[in-house]
Amino acid sequence: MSIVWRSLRNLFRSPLRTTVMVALLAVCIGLALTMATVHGATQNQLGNIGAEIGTEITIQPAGSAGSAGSSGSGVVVAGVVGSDKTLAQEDIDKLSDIDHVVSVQARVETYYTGDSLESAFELSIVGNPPPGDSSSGDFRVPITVMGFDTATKDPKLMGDAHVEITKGRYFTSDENDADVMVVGKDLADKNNLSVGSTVDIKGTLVTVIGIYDSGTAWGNNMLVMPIGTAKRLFGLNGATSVTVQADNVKNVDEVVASIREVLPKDVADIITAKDMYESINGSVTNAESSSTIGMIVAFVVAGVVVLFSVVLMIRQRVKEIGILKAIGASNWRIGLQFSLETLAVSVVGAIIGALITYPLAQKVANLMVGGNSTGSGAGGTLIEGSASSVTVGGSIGGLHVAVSPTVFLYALAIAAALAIVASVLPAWYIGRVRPAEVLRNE
Amino acid sequence: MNNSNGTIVTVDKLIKHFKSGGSTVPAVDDVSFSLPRGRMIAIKGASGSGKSTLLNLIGALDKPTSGTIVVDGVDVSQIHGRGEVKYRLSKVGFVFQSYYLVPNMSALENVMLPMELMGTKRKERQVKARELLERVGIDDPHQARRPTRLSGGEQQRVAIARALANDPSIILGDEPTGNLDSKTGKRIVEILYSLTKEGKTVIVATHSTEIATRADIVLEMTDGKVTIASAFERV
Repeated sequence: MSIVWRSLRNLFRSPLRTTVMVALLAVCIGLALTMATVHGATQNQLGNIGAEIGTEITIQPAGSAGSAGSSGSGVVVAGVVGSDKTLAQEDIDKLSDIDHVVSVQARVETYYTGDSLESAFELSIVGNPPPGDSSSGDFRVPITVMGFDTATKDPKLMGDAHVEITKGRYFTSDENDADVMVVGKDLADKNNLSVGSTVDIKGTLVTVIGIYDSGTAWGNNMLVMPIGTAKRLFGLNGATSVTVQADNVKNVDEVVASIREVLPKDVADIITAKDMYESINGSVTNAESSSTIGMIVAFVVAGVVVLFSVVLMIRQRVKEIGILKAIGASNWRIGLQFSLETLAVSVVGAIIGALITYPLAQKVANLMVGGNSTGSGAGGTLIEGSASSVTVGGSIGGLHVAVSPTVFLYALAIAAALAIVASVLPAWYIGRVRPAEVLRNE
Repeated sequence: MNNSNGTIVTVDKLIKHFKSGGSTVPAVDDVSFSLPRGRMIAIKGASGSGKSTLLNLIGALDKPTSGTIVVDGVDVSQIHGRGEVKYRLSKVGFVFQSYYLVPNMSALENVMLPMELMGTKRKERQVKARELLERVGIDDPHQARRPTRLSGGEQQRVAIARALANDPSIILGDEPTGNLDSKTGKRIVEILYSLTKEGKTVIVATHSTEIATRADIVLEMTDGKVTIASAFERV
C-alpha cells in the first residue's frame, strides 16, 4: 500500500472530522476565492469606469447648462431642451480632428407642443411650461424631440435611456433629412401610432418607421428624428448638445484644452464627468479595498482552520506516530503522510470552495458595491445618481463578476499553500515525539 | 554470559533518569551486562523496576542519560536521526503488550509496512508478509482483516510477524503476553522461543513465570538495578 493511498484511506478513519474540516475549508477557501474574484472584477471595473464615464465630455452653448436644470454634481447629460442657443456646425466638424477624440455625437433637442400629438405624461409631472415652442394656443404638455445624426450608433436619450427598437426599424445612414421618426412606446400608445402612421409635425407629414422602448417613462415619451429633419422642422441651426468621447480618462484634460481652442468660454460650456467618475470610482475602490481585506482574512482563517485541524489530528494519533517510529519510520516519512492527508483535505475543500464561488461572487459584489446595484448581463448594471436623479449607466456603476474556470487553478494553489503551511507545525511536533513516552504501557 | 564471540548486547554503566516534578527518578541505575546471541532472555521485575525502560533503551526508543549500549556492533547510545531510524528498521523488532498495530490497516498491510519503509518491492513484501503470517498461524482470511476484527492472540501474532518483517537480529518484547489468557500466552511464548532456533535473540520484559521458565537467561530487576542474573542450560 503506497503512502499516498494510505493517506487517503486515513481520511475515512474519522468521517465526521474529515467532513467538518472539508466544510470549514470549503467555506474559507470559497470566501477567499470570492474576494479574489471580486477584487479582480473591481479592478476591471475601475478601468471600465475610466473608459466609459470619465472619458465623456459634454459641450453645450454657453450659459445654457444652468437653464436646462443641470444635476447637483454639475454633470449634464441631457443638454438644453427648448433653448434657441446652438453650437455652430462648422465648430462641431472641427472636434473630430482633435487628438485622443474617439467620437463626436451631435444632437438637437427641442419640444413639440402642437395639436397632432398628445404627451403620455400628466401636466403635474412636468410643471411649468417650457420655453421654445410658441405655436400652441392653450398650454399643452410638451413632447421632447431629439435629433441624432443617423450615423450615431446606439443614440443616448436623456440620462441613460437608449433607443431600443421594438417594432419597425431605426434610421438608415441616408435618412439624415428624411421625413421619418421613431416614437417612444408610451407616446405611440397614447396617440395610437404604429409603424407606418403619419403625423403632421409643423406642416410636414412625418412617417413613423419604428417604435422604441428606452426603459424609462421619460424616454418613452419622446420623438426621435434624424438630426437634419429635426433642424429643418423646428428651425434649428447647429446642435444643442455635443458629446465627445476621449480615448482615455487620462487624456480628458488635454482634449478639453483642445476643445477650448475651438469653442471658447463665451461660446460653449464644457462639462466633463469627472465628479461622477470620482464618486463611482470611490465606491468601486472601497469595494476593492474591502475585497482585499476579506480575501486576506479568509486566507488567514483557512490557514488557522487547517493548522488547528492538523494539530488536533496529530494529537489524536500520537500513539500511531510512536508505533510508526518504533518500527523504523523516519520523521520525514511520517510528516509526509500527514502532509498528504492535509493536502487531500485541502484539495477537496478547495474544489468545493471554487464551486461555491460561482453563485457567491456576484452576490458579494452586489453587497459590497451597494444595495442599489444589480447584476445583469455583461457589465450591464446600474447605479442611480442620488440628488439629481440623473441615471448614469451602461457598465459603469455596478459590478459584473464573471467567475473564470481558472478559479480552480487558484483553488488548487491555495490548497497546496495551506498544506505546506500546515505541515510545518506537525513536522516539528513529529520530530519531538519519543516512542518510549507515547507507547508506555496503558 | 560474557561471551565476546557470541555477544549481541553489551550494556555498560547504563543510567536512565526521569524527571518527575522537581526530583529525578533513576529508572535504570548503573546497569552493566552482556547477552549472547540466539538466546531467549527474560527481564523480570515488579512494575516500575525499570525493565521496560531498559528494553526501550536497547531498542533505541529512548536515550540513556549515560552509559553505553552496543547491539550487534552498533553503539545505540550514540546514534541519532537516520542512524536511529536505520537501527530500528533493520536491527530490532518490537512486540508490545498492547500489540500496537496500525488500526486502519489489515494484518497483511501491517506486516508489509516495515518492509515498505525499508524499500522492499511491493510483490516481494507481499509474499514475505504472507509467509510470516502463515508461520505465526494467521491464515489467509484473517490476513485481510483489520486488527479490530482479530482476537488478542491473533493481533499479537501479527505483531510478531511484523517484528520479523525486516529479519532483525533481536526481537524485543515488552510484556508480550500481558493482555492474553494463559493458553494464548503460552502459544506466543512458543513462537518467540522458536525464533531463537533461527539464531535470533529474543529479549522479553515480563512478569510471567511462563516466559521466565522458558528463557535461557533471566535478569531480575529491582529499583533500576539488575539484582540477579540466572543462566540456564538449554536441554
